[in-house]
Amino acid sequence: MTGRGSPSRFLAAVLHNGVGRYVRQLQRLQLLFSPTAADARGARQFVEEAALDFARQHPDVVLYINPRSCPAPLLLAEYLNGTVREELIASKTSEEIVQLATKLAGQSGLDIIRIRKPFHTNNPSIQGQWHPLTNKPSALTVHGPRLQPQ
Amino acid sequence: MPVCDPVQPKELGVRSGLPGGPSPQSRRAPGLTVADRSRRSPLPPRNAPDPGRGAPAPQRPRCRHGAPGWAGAWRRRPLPACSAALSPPAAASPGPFPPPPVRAVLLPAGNAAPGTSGERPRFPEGSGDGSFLRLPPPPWPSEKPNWDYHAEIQAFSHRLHENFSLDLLKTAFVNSCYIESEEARRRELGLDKETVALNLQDNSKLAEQGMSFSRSYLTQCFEGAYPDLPAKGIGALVDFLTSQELVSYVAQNLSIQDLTLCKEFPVPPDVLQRTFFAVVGALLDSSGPEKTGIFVRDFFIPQLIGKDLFEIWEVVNPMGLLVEELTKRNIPSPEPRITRQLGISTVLPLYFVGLYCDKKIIAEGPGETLFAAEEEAARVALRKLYGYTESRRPWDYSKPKQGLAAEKAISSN
Repeated sequence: MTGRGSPSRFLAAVLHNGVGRYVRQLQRLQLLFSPTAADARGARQFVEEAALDFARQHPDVVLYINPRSCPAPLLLAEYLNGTVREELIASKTSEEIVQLATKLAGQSGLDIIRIRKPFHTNNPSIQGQWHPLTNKPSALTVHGPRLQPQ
Repeated sequence: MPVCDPVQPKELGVRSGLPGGPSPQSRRAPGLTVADRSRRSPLPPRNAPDPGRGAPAPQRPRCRHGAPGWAGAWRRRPLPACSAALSPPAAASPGPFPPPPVRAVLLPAGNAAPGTSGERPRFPEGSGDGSFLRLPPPPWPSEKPNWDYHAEIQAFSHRLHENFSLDLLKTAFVNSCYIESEEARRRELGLDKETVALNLQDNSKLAEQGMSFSRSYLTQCFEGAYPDLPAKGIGALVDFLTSQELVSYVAQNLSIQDLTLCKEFPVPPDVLQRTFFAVVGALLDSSGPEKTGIFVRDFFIPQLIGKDLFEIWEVVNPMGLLVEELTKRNIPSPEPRITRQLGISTVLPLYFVGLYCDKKIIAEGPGETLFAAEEEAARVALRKLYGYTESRRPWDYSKPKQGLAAEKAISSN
């Protein structure tokens, strides 16, 4: 798909996050897995080995562990701006799940679409936007008497 | 073979020759009972042709997967309005896991064709049009499956990097409308008067505290940062930052509406504003004014980024204000002069008006008419006078150095 057709956005942060202080945007992380299923083995291992460490490292994220029979093991991430992302963790190892959870914790919850420019400024031009009269002498000097260079 | 028998999905996947093989959900089969297995036994052996069905019949057994469980309902919950409006549905959940009924819909039509599946439909609830997918969203986050209010509150205080006293913070989220509605609900249930009373304190006092503190702190900040700005301008800035619109916007993006205890849903903006100020008040009571000031600075002042002074402060007659300001400073009143003009005989004329004091230009502004250009020039001059130009220094968000003043005092001695 061409650049014009695909959805895109500008580089932005929720609430100018990080200007004043950094607020982690991930608020809730739910781990849904079955206590018996084979493809949830990594999820169970994550719960046994890494979940506590993850929760300790991210005290600003509420981690819910939910062992119950469900179609597939899932990571459900809810962000402050209301976005819900779900990641399938079927047949993933514990390390992979830790990696994925850490990645989710670092994301902002804004759409993951093409970003038009890798930088953003509120003042695109320091000298001011160009207009037809930029660098032109003012009307006063045009109509007035010209001073002879001495 | 009866149609709705739970068929072992692995065998089905192999037999039907699907490229993806069995789906991850159907591979699990955690709830199989002995009866299921015994009923599965009359299946034909692997790779045996199934004359009744034809090749593509990868239907999941209805008994296990037809009825949407809670997890399915949760996954199918539509996103909240704000994020749904922001994003196309495809981008909103880029997870590689489409909900199972949708997957069933996306399969080739032959899969669910009535001729292959017998008289009874495979998915009696939806029959593929997705109508049963639209469950009403649960109104409150607290009514969702996983919700631990205490943990959420604790995480909230960690998220903001503040040490709240948790009792105060919990009080800050209790609105008076919640207490009223809750007590009314209890009364309707027929409880006696003693049990009806909730013994909860509402946040009105904290909100008042937070509001007055934020206002006074912001006023102080702006007075320090823009000493030339008159009191009216500072008042306008503070009013803008503490307005209902802006505060509720900030509160929404800190997900305060999830924690707020309130009667209505979605939480109305005035309640959000009150709750946010109550959080500020709770911080004031638990950590002191210095930390609260930094909190207010960090969450309110960035909202001024990219905003112009006169967007916030509506000045009707900027020229009059400029003359006033100049007379205060003993500068003769400005003389407007046309400095440049372009296309004045067309429908899109452009004038540049310069303001001269003592034959020195103090500001120049563009406009479509002479009047607009003069006004704009006056605004430019005012911005320069007040020190609120676009090119002003960015706000200093670094931590105030407490030791610095003490060090200075010690070194001077």
